[in-house]
Amino acid sequence: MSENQQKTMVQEVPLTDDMFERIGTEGLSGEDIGKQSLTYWADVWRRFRSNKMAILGLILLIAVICLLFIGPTLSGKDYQFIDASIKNTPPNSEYWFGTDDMGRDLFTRVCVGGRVSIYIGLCCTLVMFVIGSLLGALAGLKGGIVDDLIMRLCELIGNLPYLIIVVILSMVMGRSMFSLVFAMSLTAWVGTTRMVRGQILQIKEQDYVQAAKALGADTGRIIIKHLLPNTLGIIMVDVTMSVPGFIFSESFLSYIGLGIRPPETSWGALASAGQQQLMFYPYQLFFPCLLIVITILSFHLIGDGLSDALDPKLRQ
Amino acid sequence: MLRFIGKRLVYAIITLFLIATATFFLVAGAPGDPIAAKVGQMPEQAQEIISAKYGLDKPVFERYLIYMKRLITTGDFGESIIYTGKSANDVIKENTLISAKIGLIALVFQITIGICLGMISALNRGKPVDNIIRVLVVLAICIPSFVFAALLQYFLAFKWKLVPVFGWGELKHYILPVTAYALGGIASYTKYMRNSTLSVLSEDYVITAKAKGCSKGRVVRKHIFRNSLIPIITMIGPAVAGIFAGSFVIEKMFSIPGLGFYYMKSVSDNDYTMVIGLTIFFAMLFVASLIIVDILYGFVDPRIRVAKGRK
Amino acid sequence: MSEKILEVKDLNVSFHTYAGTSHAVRGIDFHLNQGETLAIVGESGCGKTVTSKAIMGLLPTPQTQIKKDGDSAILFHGENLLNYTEKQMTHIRGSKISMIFQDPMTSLNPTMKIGNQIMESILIHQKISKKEAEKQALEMLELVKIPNAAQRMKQYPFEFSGGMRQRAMIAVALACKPEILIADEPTTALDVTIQAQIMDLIGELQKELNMAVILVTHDLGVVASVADRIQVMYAGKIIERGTVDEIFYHPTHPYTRALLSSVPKIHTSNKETLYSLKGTPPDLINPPVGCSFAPRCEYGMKICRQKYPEITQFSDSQQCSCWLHHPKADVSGLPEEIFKRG
Repeated sequence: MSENQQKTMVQEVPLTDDMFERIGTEGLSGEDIGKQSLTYWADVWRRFRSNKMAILGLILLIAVICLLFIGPTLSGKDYQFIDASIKNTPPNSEYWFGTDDMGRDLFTRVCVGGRVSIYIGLCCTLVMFVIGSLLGALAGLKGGIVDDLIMRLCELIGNLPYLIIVVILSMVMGRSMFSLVFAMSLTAWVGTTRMVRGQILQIKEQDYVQAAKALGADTGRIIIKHLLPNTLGIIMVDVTMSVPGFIFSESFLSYIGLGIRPPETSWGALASAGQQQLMFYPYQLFFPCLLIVITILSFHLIGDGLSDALDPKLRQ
Repeated sequence: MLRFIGKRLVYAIITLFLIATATFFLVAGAPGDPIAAKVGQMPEQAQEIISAKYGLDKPVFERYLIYMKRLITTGDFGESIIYTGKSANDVIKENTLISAKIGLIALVFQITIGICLGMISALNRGKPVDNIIRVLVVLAICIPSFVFAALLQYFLAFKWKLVPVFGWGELKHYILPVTAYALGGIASYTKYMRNSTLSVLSEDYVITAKAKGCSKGRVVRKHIFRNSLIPIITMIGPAVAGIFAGSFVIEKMFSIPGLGFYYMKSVSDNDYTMVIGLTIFFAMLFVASLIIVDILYGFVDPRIRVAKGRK
Repeated sequence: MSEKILEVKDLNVSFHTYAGTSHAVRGIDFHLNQGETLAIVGESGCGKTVTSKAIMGLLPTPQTQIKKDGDSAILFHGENLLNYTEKQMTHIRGSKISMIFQDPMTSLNPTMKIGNQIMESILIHQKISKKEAEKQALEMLELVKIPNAAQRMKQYPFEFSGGMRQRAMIAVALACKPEILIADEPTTALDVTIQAQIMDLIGELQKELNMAVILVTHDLGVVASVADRIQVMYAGKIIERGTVDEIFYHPTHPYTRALLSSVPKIHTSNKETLYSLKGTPPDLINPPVGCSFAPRCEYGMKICRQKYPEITQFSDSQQCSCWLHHPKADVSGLPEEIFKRG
């Protein structure tokens, strides 16, 4: 509207005296107009929920996990039961994913192998998270020589190719699930430590923490009230993104023969076995891979949704 | 700058020394008698001769001193226990180049394609091109490289017979392994480049450039490109270093006689001298790449270059 | 002094956001005379920066909408910039109209030498050799009083202090001797002592290059010594305008008065509390009906919340949109300077 138009509009309406009664700011205050405020986490949850892809990821993940646990009961087969008469049967109504080169039911094997893969992913993440955030927090809060030592250690481990550590450790400790988890988490905590330390150092310098200090808040209160809530978000994203990373690594290591060994199985081991049959029975590679991809995809979607929800500024 | 490089070199040497020491004691102390596999059926006298030849009759610490002395003075990484006469140095000489070639070619594809796609995606944010690229990136990140390699083998080589499945030596043999290797990297470089370009796009100096009267193309070339590249360069460091580690699986899948292939073979053979030698060599490559990239990084971002030069 | 080089007519800018369409600038008219300094004053979010970016054609394209039909126009020497193509605008930007920004720490390209950043604008707009451009860039740096200019040319922005960066930024903007300089809060991010230096520098260069300056700021203190005319913006509209003297000595809008009262004065006695205006500017996604300042105005009347006030003209230069100047308004207890001429 131009000023001219406004003038004419204003003049059309009769202006009565009563309209000029002074009311000041009564009834309305500039400050009351704000929206109803939500707590930070409620707001995070609201943003996460409104992200369709993240919800899709969550549903996919829950579906996969349910399948892994009730799958063997549904199929009613044993994952180690060998029946030479039904070797390499393509998928059918009896064997949903077909059978492998020893006549074992692939569906049941994929479910059991998936449990192992996800279990390893979660274990490694837990170890990484605990060691990483403890050392990171220690380095960030204590500073000085403690910080120096921890950072040197990180540098040393960060300077090593992780595959070689895993190879050497699996040679030394034998190939078992434990050695695999140990080797993978041994190298992984470095990233978490650096991140948590960086976050803490950054937050420590923020004005609101300085203000809290100046007001006499003790260290414990500062950690609980300021450092924890502000680092939790970034750690949560890191954790969600790490699980698929470990599942990936596990399948990769099992695939090159360094991970889970028969008779135990995992998605990587199944894929490795399937690859040898690829030319003639491609479904034996397809099904384990499909589940790996779906699982990793769902974790990624959740992680992306989470990081968007935690920091809406990063989004666009 | 020189001082910075010198400091990095000293750190690197200390790191390498620690790695070599740790590797030696871990592997030498590993379960499973390395000799047993080879000499199991030999008469006792022959066993002793062989043990003496590899110094296995001496205590571990003495063997360590001998090995380190030989490594430092003559650059001898050790001789295979399993294949008499074949030394780690032979394997390194013959096969490093193959691994490096595959890795480097794949890396070049990863970086160039990733940077291009990331830029295109960011500059067209919200448009169909961007959406397509983003969906492809998510898919590519979620597919393990060995799965992708298997798919390539099955369709391109086995079903459609466009390229050979196995074999090594000619250009056509590179196609499958390099593609399989490059895919995951392309996806992550695209993702990072997109994010970094988007954050540069919202920087004030981009508006300054526009306010100066730079055309769109000039703003992208002169102001956005270089600045959005900086975070990518930090990723290239570990990537260059990881070239050899990453080629393990590809070499195994496509039976390519590279360093990774022999390394894995030595591990499964329990060929411990070979494993020690190759591990140390891998670590050297890795550490050297990290230093080179650090120096390179200084050249790209003047803030880092000058800050380091002044130290 | 009297030739209009820039005339803005009925400028409307809206942004599309997730929450809805935000009407950042709602129909403003103003002009800029040759060689003068026009200050646009207001709180953050009132549309000052949007207005200046609209003149430069720097608003992000898909999200922003500028009204182009009807009377709407941005006339530069009589030519409507709103109808210019992106390519035509690049010839205007930097050579005819330049802009400097609030934060000198982030407004310079961190990976490009200062000299090159100045030379870039020269080389884009003038067909001269690189050597010649380098010479001109050096002169520019000397003009903005950067010591050791020759050496500074080869340095990167991170080697400059905040004040020096803003000087360099001015050198970039003025490299092609533009006719109009838009300075968007040029001193807000700087130390107080540096602020005065930068403002003086802008004033000096303005005389030297005979250019017109649009000074965008929220700080009336900065404005007093440099501006010729002031226009006060609130919630995307110009609510009052006038010469510096008129605005400072006879503010006619309660908002202008509130702004003036919140500037600390040297005569203010210790016991007097500094006035502070309560509340925040309205949400521009759903701008209030009537006068947007009404919810914060202590003299607000019923009418203020129903209709937008008409313009009252006080002199050739001063005008104001406020119901208090209507003959029927209840003026008891109002500060008298508001009614000095009313």
